[in-house]
Amino acid sequence: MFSCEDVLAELSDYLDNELAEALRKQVEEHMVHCRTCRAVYDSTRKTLRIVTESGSFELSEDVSSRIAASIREKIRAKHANPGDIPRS
Amino acid sequence: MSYIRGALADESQFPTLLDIKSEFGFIPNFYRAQTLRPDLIDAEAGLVSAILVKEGALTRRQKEYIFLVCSADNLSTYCVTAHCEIVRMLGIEGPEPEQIALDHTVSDLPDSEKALLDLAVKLNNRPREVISADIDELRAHGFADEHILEMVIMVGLAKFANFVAFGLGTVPDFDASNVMRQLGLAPSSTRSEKKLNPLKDTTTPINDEDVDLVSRTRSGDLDAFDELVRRHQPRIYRTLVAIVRNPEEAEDGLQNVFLSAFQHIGSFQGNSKFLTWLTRIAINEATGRRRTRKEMESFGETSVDDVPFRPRDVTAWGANPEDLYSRAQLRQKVEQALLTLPAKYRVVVMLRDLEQFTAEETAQVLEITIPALKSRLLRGRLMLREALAPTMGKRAANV
Repeated sequence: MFSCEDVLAELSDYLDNELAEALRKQVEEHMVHCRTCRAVYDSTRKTLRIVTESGSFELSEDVSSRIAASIREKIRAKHANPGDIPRS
Repeated sequence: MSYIRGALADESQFPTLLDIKSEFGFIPNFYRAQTLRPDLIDAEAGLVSAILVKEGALTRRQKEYIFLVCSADNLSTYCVTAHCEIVRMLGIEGPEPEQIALDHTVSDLPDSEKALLDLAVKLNNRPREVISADIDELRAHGFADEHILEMVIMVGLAKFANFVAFGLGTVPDFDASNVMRQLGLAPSSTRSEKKLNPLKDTTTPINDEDVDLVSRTRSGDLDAFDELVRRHQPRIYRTLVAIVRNPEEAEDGLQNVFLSAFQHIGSFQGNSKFLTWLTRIAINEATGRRRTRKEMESFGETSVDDVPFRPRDVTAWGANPEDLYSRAQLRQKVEQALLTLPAKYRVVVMLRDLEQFTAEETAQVLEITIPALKSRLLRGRLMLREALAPTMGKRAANV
């Protein structure tokens, strides 16, 4: 019988759908009866959804363009010097 | 399955084989190849039981690792494959067994265990060069004579098993292609360092959407590189933030990463995706910046916290807690929560859950094993959940 610690140890793999069938069943059987593990599982699942969809640390359009332009300028300056052309 | 024919009788007539099957779940071809002499199988199984299985001074893990390093040194694909699986079946914790077989010196084993394995390899390879100073060195590492005796006998057992497997032409019980590649017995990508690559399928073609742009850049098409910059800037920026923790500094680092990538694009060999390669450059850039700031907290260290993280706030969350906030508020809360995580957990959560790298890709760019990655990911995700709980739980909804 899986304990709360056992479920917690497998939680990440369970969320990623990477648990073997037998382990997955054990986790699910435990959660049927354990409100705490159910709450932790559900809130962790929602945490991942929120993080993935949050657009956190998005580079603003103007910063992105400014840096891209600077990179562009620098590699063209290097390219003007034939010794600096990258070759495989 | 081997060079000589075994007895035609079925396995139920060999009680020792049935015992082995019940212990490991399979009958090794090593024993199947010897069924002409059941008495010898019994004797060998007794030997294995007394030396390897029975509890002694060395742990089972130490004994399995001795077996692995010697078998790998003797290039016994059969024994390495079998015992990598056995280590996994036994749930022995530690580095990937293939890493031990390939090169234990670059694994994260304690120095004392490395010294034990070093001497096992020396005895296996250059037995006449073993001197009493070698034994003293193990004693200095805290090993008692019982440990040393067991190590010596384990080396003997490995030699015995390896040579029997060679002589009988025993076919591996499990897919041996990975082990053979690692031991250099099968075609492989060039490998300068004997470090196990966490990305399993190094020989399968990599589906990389950037391959055309990379090749055009190499032939001098600068617009192609502009497109690579446009495509990957957002993700590289997030990788930098994940490590340096400071958005302004990440912006500064961004330009260096792409200039360095342009400079070295000739050395990109296509063994990984271009983005993976680029992310490695970003990690180096960010690590350098942390070092300059003398931040001692390491995100690359391989140690794992012994005590499991326990969730404290276990209030249930509503169906859509994100609806409590505007998009901008939500983004700010997530960013704040991510920045509270210690670096080594923040990096894995951001690469895996924000940037959506696969587990294999994340392990590869951080140069850690999959088990180490998974352990950090679990803890990082639980810490992040805890950091968000006060603002996402039902109590927050009622405020």
